[in-house]
Amino acid sequence: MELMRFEGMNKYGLTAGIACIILSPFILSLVSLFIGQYTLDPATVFTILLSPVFHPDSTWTEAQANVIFNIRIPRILGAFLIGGGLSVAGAVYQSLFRNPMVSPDILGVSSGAGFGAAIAILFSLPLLLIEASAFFFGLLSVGFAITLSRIYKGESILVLVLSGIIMSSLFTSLISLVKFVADPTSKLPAITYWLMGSLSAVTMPDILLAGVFIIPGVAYCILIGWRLNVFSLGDEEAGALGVDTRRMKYILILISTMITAYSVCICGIIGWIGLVIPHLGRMLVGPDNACLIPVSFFLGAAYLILIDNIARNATTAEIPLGILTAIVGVPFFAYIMARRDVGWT
Amino acid sequence: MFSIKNAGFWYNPERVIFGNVTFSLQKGKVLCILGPNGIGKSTLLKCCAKILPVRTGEVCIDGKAIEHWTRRELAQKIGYVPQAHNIVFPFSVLQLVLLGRNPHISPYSRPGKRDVEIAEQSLQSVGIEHLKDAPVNRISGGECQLAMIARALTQEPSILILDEPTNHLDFGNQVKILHILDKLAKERNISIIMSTHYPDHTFLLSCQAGIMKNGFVSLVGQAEEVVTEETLEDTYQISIGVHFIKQANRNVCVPSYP
Repeated sequence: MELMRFEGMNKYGLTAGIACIILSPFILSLVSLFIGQYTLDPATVFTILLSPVFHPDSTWTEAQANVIFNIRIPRILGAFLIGGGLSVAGAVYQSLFRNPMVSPDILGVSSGAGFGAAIAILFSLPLLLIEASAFFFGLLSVGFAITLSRIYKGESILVLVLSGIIMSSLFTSLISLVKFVADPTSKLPAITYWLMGSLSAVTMPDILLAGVFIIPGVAYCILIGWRLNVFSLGDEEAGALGVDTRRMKYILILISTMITAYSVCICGIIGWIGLVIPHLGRMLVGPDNACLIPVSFFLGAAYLILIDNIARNATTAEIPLGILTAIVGVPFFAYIMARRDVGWT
Repeated sequence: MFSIKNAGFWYNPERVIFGNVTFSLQKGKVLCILGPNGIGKSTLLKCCAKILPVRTGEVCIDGKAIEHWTRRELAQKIGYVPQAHNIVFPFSVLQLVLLGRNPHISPYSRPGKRDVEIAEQSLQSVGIEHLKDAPVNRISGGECQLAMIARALTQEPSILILDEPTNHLDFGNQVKILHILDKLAKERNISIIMSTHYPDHTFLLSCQAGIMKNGFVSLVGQAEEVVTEETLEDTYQISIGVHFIKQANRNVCVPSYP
């Protein structure tokens, strides 16, 4: 029934459209394997890809295999999961907080995680501890926001968002403080670069962790997609329709926080995607979350893979993702906005 | 059957909103609750639907207190239509009405063909099936109210609770909504509890009426007996004449201009 909203588009057109959206990140992933600073011809890439299964005679160098298995594949998978995960977290938050202007970091997870990373870099901790610290402070920030809203005795969404904004600004200030005291020749650039976001340091173990922090959460959100519509009516109406909003609210916050904290801890702060991709999805398939959540996942995945390709190929030096997401995205978003009637009045 | 016994509610114990509400309602009957602004009509209705918990007394459906019902079970029994609705996302009318199937659908699945049929029947019974594909934020206030009633009907409830369903509606739409509610009560045997600011509505529906004042609902009974010149003046602090109009075959309230 989610198919009925689209004026001027028949059922088959929409099904085909959704199929394209689902396929797009897979096609982009495949294409991304071939492009990069280190040029590889398609035949070699395929032979290398199939080598673990078929064990053909080695016609490639160790370095080439290394590029494919240890650099490009983790990077592409990272972009896939993080782009998709952030978009799902954003779509869920927009319904949960009943506000289309909300992004996954509304409760302060990104600034918290950014602070965690910055302070770990300041103390020259190894990468693993930087990631762990980012993750920890990301969760801590959201935990504080929830506690703050409960101290206020407000179960209301507005109080929670306000608490989130307060925690977010606190940790943003703390990031500035860390930057202020950091050594301007080595530490400061490292922190700044981290905060702008990059997938260049992603490794295979990172991707395996994504299996724990992103995939189950996204799967759960896709499963309860339709019920999120009930949620978006607000606590009272959702309650009257038989949903226990309190319990589910915290489950959903936990899932979104895990996804966002995890993505900040492996690739820095990537804004924009969590806010805008769900809107893009809504423009394409309508507001029904049963359809919107999976569509957001694949759209976000495709989008971040695309952006990451630009980031690593456009110039000889890598461009941080945080810069590109909006610069590339805004014209595209403006185009879609002009073309489609979303139903906002 | 719906009953509420010695029910009380307050946010702050020093300011009791209502303290001792008792009434009951048979199947297929309509009860209109009258009362001045801010007296707690909405709060009472929310307590009836377990959106707020009663602090004292109990609300029972078929003899079982609603605190022992799960939200899901209760949502299969009670349809609640709130006073104000601001739907943030531009769902289509059908998508919105379909959400009423929520208590009948298992947690991880989504509505099927049968659910869509029930939602479409609800749209038909309130007469807005032609709007099913329109985004809810582009239809009129009256149409939106009908869509909300349709959503509540999609829950297949035996009790409907409506908080000022005629609020903000033009004269024609008010009567139309009342007529639809009357029909639902008579044809589907649904019990209806609603609040209203128009005592005339009780005569139009020839229903039960209750007047809420000073923390309790007094005088629940047939409209013609409850809604009288004395009680209205006592409730609204102006003098109101209640006259029988032969052409309309019912009582009509005429406020005098001070």
